[in-house]
Amino acid sequence: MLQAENLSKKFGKTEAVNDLSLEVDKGEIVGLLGPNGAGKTTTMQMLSGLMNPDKGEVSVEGNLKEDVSVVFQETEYGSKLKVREFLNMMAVLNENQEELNNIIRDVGLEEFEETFVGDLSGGNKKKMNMASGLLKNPNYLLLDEPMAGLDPRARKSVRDSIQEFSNTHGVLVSTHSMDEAEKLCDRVIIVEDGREIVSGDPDKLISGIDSDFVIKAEGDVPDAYESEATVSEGFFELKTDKPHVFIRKMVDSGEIDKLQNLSIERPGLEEVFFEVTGRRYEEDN
Amino acid sequence: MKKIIELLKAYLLDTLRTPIEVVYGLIMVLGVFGLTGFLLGQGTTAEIVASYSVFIASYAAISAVAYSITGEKEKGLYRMYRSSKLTKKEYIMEKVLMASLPLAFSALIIIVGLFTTTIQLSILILPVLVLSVLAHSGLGLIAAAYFDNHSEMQKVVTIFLFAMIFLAPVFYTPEMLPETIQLVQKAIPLTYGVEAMRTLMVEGGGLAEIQRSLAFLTTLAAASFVLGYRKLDF
Repeated sequence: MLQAENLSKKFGKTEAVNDLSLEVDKGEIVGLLGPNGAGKTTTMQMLSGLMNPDKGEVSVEGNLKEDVSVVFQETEYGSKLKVREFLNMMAVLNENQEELNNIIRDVGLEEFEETFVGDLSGGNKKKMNMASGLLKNPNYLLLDEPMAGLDPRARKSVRDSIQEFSNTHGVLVSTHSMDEAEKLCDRVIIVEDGREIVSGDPDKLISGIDSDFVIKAEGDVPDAYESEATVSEGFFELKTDKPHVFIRKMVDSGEIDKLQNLSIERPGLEEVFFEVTGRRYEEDN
Repeated sequence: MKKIIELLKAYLLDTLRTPIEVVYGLIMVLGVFGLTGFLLGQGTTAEIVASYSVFIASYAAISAVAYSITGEKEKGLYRMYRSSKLTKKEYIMEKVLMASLPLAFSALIIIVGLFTTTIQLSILILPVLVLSVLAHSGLGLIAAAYFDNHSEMQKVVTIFLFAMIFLAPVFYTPEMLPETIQLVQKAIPLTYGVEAMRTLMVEGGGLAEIQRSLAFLTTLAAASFVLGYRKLDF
């Protein structure tokens, strides 16, 4: 098990990570979830041994440098190397040339072996990053925002690769997308300002929200629902099992015209975040 | 060693696949060589061959190490290497070998010199060139260790490189400069490489005449590598 206890890290006066504990077991995908600047990448660096925490410790059965591999989102390749040449170099660096072909096949890069790395699409670059991480043959793979900037098809493909790998290894995925975390993770740890605000099985966290639907809108809360709604900065949420009743009332009273961006959704991790913090989760903040 | 060779292979493939940059580099080398040396007639041809052969290797060494490491830091490749099973020792060794590749240019300049002027060849040329490369690679390593950002490092390294070009006696002999500038020259590591090369190739001197320069370059190489190695967070 990869385990972190009470990790803290400061950069100047900014507390990037504050007393954060987590664990990742083999066979599971854990999501480290939070808005940009929540401390996810710093946590990844500490978990992989690339950065020392100011406080707390990271432990793993075996050796951190050998058994944990981390793949960061913002690796750039202006390189004139072909995919196979680059991955062969990474295989040599990781003393694992024998698995090169299997890993290229597993991440679905076989038909791009002769493509120059700089010419790969965003999705395929992510896959190549992942392949580089896998070539270390780690027990635990840490993926920093593996879905960021990908189109839905590429996201599905990368998600499949991660799920495949998690059958035999432990995976920690950092993401700012609540939606992705719901689809991918067995457990999530939602962080904000470097602190854990809630953690657990996404389904259980969501089932804690006692309603079938969530109505979201921007604007003033309709008079009839003032006591039930949760409000935050011109935005409100209303949990209900009968959204049609709300809509009918709004149409009849004419209040529907005053509401912006009205939506009716099944509850998700965004609602969990809203319930815990009292603030709306902004993915791009 | 296999990892170092693989990294070097990738570097060479990457470089040779952008031939325009190689050609541009070669034109710059020959252009500066021709303009400052032969056309402007600063120093004798033999002096220019001696000084320029060590200048090009030293200049390339500091630039190659400093720029390639900070470039990799910015691109995220540095973290990727750190997360692999590559050791810090192997990484630095690869950078030094990469920085030594321009010694081929030094050899080319010496060969040109053999056909165009009278220069003395000595086995001691090799340690002078190698120590100059090591000393300047070490300085590049220190620069790369202190900076994560390419553009910030560039400001510092560029000042140093300009000082190297114009204050070290590359394109003229020290005697051509005022005495105060000659004192400043003593603080420029390249001065010791140039002096040693001129002593060997132009004056036909031996070990006794260049031992002070060799001692300086050896000390600088050792000190800069110890500091750079310790400071580099790999």
